[in-house]
Amino acid sequence: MKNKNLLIALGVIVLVVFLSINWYIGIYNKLITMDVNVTEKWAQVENQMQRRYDLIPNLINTVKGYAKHEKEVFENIAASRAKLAGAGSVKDKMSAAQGMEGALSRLLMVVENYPDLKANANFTRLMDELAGAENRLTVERQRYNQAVKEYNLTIRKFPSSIIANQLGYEKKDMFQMATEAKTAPKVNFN
Amino acid sequence: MLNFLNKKAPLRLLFIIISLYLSLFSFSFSAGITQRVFDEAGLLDNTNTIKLEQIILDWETKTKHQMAVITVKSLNGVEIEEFAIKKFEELGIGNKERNDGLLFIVAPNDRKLRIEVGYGLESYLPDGLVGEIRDTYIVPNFRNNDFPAGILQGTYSLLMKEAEMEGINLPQLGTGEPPAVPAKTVPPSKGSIAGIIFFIVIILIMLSNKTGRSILLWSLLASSMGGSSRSNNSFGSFGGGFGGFGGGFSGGGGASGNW
Repeated sequence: MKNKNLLIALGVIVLVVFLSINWYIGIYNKLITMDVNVTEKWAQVENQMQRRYDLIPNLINTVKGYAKHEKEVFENIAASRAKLAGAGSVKDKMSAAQGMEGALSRLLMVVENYPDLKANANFTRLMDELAGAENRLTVERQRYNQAVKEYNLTIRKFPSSIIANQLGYEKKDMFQMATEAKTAPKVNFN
Repeated sequence: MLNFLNKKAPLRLLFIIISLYLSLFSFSFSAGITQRVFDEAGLLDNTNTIKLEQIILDWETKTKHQMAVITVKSLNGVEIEEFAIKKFEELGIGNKERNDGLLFIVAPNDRKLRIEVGYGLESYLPDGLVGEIRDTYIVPNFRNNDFPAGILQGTYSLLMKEAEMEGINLPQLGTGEPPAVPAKTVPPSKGSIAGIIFFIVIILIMLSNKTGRSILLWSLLASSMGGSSRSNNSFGSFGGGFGGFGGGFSGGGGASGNW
């Protein structure tokens, strides 16, 4: 009789241990997946930053043909482009991208003063490519932010927060555009 | 079971087979609707809608990509880019792996349009090319308030350019008969009229018999359940599967414009 009780107790312990290991593995894997997901989404954001970055020399060349003396605007863009190229960490890249955003919107404001340039077919195509690059960046940025939001929520919620702590997972930054909506380059086809 | 094997057995068996066929029919009927044009703003008449559906379906059969054309009464203050990406994901245009969908949205009251290109078609339809099509075929027509011409010519040139990039030829637009694609949309053909008469007769026979009535009731219940599971989407028959869309994504490529 005593032996039987002991066996049952042992069985319960084994079951509890097994279930908690299972639970631990589940959360552990979920956290890893979320972390990888954030990294993947960030890579997409960087791809789109690169796309916009690659468009700029062509754009500047076209604009220069019509608006030679807007030196300040070109210098601003060149500087923000260099800053983006030199940015290492995610945070640096985010701030460099914001600088680029501002420099580009100033260029687009300048362009308004040159009707000949606006009528140039080559320029129109470049503007479409630029608008497309901006929109792609916005989309990937939103998807990245969504992934970060889910990740941040999970690492702070109990009980997954315990495992996140053990793994040394920290809160990640969302990618906000400081100048968003107000001065974001909007292409007008009137 | 033994009870089943009495003299009425063949009759019951027939009923079971027919009711199975009936529920299958209702299933394939709801799944077979391939709608590609959603004209909420009412910019297209029947002829133009059918023509547009045919152009799209012809391209879809040849390239295996997918496209939808949507017109909306109002964007309700949402940016058209945001609206487009949401709609694209909601419908899941394009194959889930290839993400090769295409979406053309017109909001006449906001005077805005957008052509959204899925990830998988970006290399065939770069933003500059899409913008050129918009400026050549769509915006001038929209400025003249000729929405059908803008939508048809715009859609056709997008699809033709895309097919051209893949080395596929599409029939010319407006030359003679529209492309000969079996219309997968609902208009009843001769066969289905005969089918409907057949079903009415069967249902009348079933109604005159107790077993028939109960079978009819059950098959109706079963088919209505099959139907309700697909109708929780705003557009009816989406969410993948035959005839709907494939669950594709877009990365924000394409071009927007106003007029």
